[in-house]
Amino acid sequence: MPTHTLPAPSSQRLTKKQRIIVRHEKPKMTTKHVMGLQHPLGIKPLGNYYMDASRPDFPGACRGPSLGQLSRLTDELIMDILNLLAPRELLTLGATSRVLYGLTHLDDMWKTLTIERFKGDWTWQGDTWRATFLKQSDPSYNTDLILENREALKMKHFYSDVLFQSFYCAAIGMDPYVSVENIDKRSGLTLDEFIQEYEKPGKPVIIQDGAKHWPAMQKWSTEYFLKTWPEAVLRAESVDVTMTNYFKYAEGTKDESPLYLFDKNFGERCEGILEDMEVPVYFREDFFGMMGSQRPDYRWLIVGPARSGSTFHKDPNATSAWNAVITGSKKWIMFPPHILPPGVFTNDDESEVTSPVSLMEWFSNFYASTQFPDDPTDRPLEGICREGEIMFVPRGWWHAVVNLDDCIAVTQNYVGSQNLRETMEFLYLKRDQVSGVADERREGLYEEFKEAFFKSNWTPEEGEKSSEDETVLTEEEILKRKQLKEKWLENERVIEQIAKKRSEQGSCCNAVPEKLSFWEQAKLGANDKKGDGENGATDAAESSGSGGFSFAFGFDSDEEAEVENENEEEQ
Amino acid sequence: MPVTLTSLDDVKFTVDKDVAERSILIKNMIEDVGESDSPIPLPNVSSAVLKKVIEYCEHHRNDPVQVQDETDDPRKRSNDIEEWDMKFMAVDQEMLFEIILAANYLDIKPLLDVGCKTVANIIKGKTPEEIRKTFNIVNDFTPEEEAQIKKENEWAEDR
Repeated sequence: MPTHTLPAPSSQRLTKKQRIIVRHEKPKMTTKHVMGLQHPLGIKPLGNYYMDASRPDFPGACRGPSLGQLSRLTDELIMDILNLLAPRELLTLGATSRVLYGLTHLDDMWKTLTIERFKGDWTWQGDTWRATFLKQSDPSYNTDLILENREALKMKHFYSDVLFQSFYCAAIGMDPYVSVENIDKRSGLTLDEFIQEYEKPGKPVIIQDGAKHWPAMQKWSTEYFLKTWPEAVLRAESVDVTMTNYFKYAEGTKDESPLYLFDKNFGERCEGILEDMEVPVYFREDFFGMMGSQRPDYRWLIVGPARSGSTFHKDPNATSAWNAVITGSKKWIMFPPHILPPGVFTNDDESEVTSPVSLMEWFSNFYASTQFPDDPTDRPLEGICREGEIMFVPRGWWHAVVNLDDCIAVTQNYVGSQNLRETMEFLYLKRDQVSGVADERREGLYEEFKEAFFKSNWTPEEGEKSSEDETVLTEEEILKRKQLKEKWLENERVIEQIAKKRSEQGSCCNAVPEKLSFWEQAKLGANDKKGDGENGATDAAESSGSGGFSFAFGFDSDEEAEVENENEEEQ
Repeated sequence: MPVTLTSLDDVKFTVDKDVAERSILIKNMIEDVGESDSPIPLPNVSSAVLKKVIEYCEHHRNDPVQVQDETDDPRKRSNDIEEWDMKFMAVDQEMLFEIILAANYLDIKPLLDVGCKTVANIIKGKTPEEIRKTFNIVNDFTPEEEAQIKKENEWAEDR
């Protein structure tokens, strides 16, 4: 009897936030449904067992004899045990029987071993982490044997959904999930149009001519990077690797979730690279720039093969972001701030977010359920960002991104007039969630930001100049600076009153109520008649599409509305 | 407030609530159902195994809730089973696997960890033939295949 279940959410109670209905059934996988899906180790999905067992020449599943007493344990438990073994023990265990040979070849285990022992200091071998690990620690090791034996020793009658799953997700790829494109695509946007139609209401958009004119569009490619900065050391998730080694890995890997290169220091590590790009005009007002080199992490070079990407998250410090694709293409799927994507779990104040499944598994298990929610306005925004195009990600939006092919991109986060208040609130009220700076600076980042904001002579046109610069400002600029400072103080008054009310009420929940965005207004308008009131649905139960909000509209905690009325907020 | 658990073979065990709640499954059930006298059925766990599991939970009732530290190297940690747990786990193989399955079903992570580490320790240091004997594994390789694998395993641990 299969005991395979979805990974359990963290033991914290699911928040009563709005959830999309999770009314999915894991699709039954068999290799008959998807032609030519041959697992390299011969693992087949459970569905095939039933097909194979009906044949007269079926010798029986090999799991029992080949695992002995261990066959009483589930596949997951067996893998848990294998994960406790050292490399030498895995090799020995693999010599005991065909099934154990196969199981000790599962590559994810060897990826962990490689990174633990060698960090980023390995040279990619062939198509597996196992070969890479063994070769790195023993240069005389013959990795060809692995490939030869693997083919010869393929398991013949081993069935496991759990172990077939990740191969299946990777093999299917993204083709079934790329047809929906409902994000606005615009060209020739003026700054004002962008602000009014997208930034202010907080609506994503693909700016099709965003990076078209960058020198990067003519120059950048895998070959160019390898030729120009072959020894540049860049960050790939938890390790630092050279450019050369990363591309070798990216080319040869069959990982379901390939290692993703995401580096914030590329400006310094790749000499001259910053000249190939420029911050688009829409995003030049970036107040964190006033902090100069002290600003939180804000700009990354992103490189990855197909299937690499980021699972659902919200960007740090309530900033907004833009993401420019230079080569390749990315699939985006986004949910507005108040809708928690299925398969994502979080606690009340969203300080902890867990997404137990990989990106590819998410698409396989959850994507379908997002396409037909009860409430049509609960559908996610989706689109593909192609070469030369820039995605605008408004603050607070949940988003997941997958590279559809080899992809090079650049992304930045920023704070402008449209999200200054929200970032101030975040830094002030959620100090333990602040990120992008050293741990000891998180507590005081708000004050640091304020100091820079008031001292600096920074203007949008200046771009990245430090606050010490002796720039002479025009009268217009001086007036603008004065208005900004007044705005800050106004915002601060509101925030301090919220903080005061919170501590008076003894509220332990730090949820910052979102102002109504265009999305929320659309929902309100569409759902005027529904008003089902709050229901206590937690997970897969049938929750109605609306009316389950515990915080979003600020009706529960009217702090903001009250305070704003008191201060005659203009916005 | 005591809680009653009923095993697969209909044996009732009464334990303190905090002991029962070392099992996250039971904890969640209690939270969902609320205060109630009715016993909690555990149809997947026989009485012999449930007895052992309860013994573990009682001994560890005051342990802090484990926080998963993702930077922990799981390999280093299989050598750190405390003495009481070692003695507790000195059971025959069948019971060992039953305990692991029960800990998995009942969602008692520390017990599951100890169980898996115990099996890992059984495997360590043995030759393939010894491992086969221990777990009753059938050698389903041909002699040629065995030779091939032997070659593949000629790996020097350190340079």
